[in-house]
Amino acid sequence: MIRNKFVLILIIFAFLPLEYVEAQEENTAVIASEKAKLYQKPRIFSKTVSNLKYNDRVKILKSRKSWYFVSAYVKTRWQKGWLRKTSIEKRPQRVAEIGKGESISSSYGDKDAATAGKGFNPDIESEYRGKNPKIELGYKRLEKVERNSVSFSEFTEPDFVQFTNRRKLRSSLVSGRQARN
Amino acid sequence: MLRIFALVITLINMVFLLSCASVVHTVGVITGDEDMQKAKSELGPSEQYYLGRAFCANILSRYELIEDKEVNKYINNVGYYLSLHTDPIPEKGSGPYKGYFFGVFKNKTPMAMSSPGGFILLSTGMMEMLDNEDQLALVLAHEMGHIMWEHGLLAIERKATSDAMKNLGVFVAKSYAQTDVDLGALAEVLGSSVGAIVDSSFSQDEEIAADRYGFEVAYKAGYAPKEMFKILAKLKALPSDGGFLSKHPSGSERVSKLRGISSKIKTPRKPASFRVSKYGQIKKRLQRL
Repeated sequence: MIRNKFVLILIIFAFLPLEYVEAQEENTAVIASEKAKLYQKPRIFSKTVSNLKYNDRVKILKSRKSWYFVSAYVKTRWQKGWLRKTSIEKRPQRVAEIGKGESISSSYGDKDAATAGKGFNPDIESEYRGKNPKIELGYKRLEKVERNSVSFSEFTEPDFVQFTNRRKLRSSLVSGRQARN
Repeated sequence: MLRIFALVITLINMVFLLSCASVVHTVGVITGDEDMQKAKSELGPSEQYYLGRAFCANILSRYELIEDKEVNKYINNVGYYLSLHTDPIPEKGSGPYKGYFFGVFKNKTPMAMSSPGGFILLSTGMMEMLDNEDQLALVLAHEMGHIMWEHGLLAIERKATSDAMKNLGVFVAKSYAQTDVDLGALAEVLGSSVGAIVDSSFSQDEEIAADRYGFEVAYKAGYAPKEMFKILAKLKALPSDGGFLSKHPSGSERVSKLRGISSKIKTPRKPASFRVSKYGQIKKRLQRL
C-alpha cells in the first residue's frame, strides 16, 4: 500500500512541468502596496529606475537591511533595482509566465488588482455608505485625513534634511545604525 | 456580501471601545477552523485598506476631526518620517497598502487607535498628555507596531467568549471562501454579546511587541526612545477607568523588557530643544481649538 502511494507521488512529480518546480524554488514576491518605486540604490532618495504597482511580480535576488534587490518585469523587459521590504509580500508564482509577458491573475482575485478582494473593495464600500447614511460624515472626515497625509513626492530629500537637522535627529537612513534585538 | 461587511464593521466598532484599539485583519482564526485560517491568508493589503477605512469612518462619525492645517501637517510629517524607518515583521508580510495616515480627533480622554490600512488616530487628550515630539513619535510607532503585528485580529479572537461569536467567525470566514451564508440571525445574537466583547484589551505580550517595535523605529529615526518610560509612567498614573492603555497590562514587565533593549543600544538621552518647543506650540494650538 505504502509502495503504491510512493509510486503515485513519483508519477505526479514526473508530470509536473519543470518550469513550475523551478519557479517554486525562486524567491518570488508581489508588490503589496498601491505603488512602489524601484530604486537604483538601496536608499530612500536614490534615483528611481521604475514605478511598480500593486500585485506586480518581482524576483528577489538579494537582501540588505530594509531593502531587497529585485528583478521586476516592467512593460516588456526585466529591470533590476532596489525595493523597500515594506513594499512587497513573498508569494510563490510561475515565473515563466511573467517572462513571456502573459497576464497573471491576481493572488487576491482575478478582477482589477487594485480592487481585488472577496469582501472589502470600493463597490462594497459604496453600497455600505449608501445604506448607512450616518456613516457618511465619518467617511467625509476620513477623506480629509487621507488628503492630509504626506506622500513621497511631498517629502523630498531637502525636506528630509531640513526635518532632521532642525530636530538634531540622527536617522539610521543616513548613519546606517540599526536597532539591536 | 453587504450584510457580511456591515456585520464585520459592527464587530470592529465593538473592538474600538478598547483603550488602545488596533483593529482587525479579518474575523478569522477564532476557532482554528480551516476556512478561517484560509480567510486570514486571503485578506490582501487592499482589502485591509478598505476594512480600515470602514472602521475609521465609524470612529470619525462619532468624534470630531481636528482640521487645523498646522496640526495635521505636523503629525503627518512626523508620522511619515517615522514610516521611512519601518521594516516588515517577517511572518506578517508587508507594510500598509497606501502607507500610513495620521489624524487627531476631539476627545479629552487619552486615546490612540490604529487599524488595517495604516490609519492611526490620536485623541486631543493623548496629544495633551505627551510632553514632546519624541513621545509622540513613540506612540505613533507603537501603533505602527500593532498594525504590523496584526494584533487586532488576535484581539477579536479573545472576544470570542460565546458560541455566537465563534459562529460569527466561522461564517465570516466562509464568506471569504465564497460560501453562501446568511448572517441575519447571527447579527441579532451578536447584539447581546457586546458587553462581553467590549471589556478587554491587548495581551501583555502584544503590548510588549508593539512597545519593542515602536522603540526600535523611534531609535532608528533618531528620537530618544527612553521617553517611552515616561509615557508608561503617565499611563500608570491615569485613573483606572480612563482611556488609552488604561486596561493594558501593568507597566512593570513592559518597562523591564524595554530596559533590556535600551541597555544594549546607545540611545539619545533626551529630546533636542526643537522637538520640545515645536510640540509645545502644537499643543497650545490644540488647546485653542
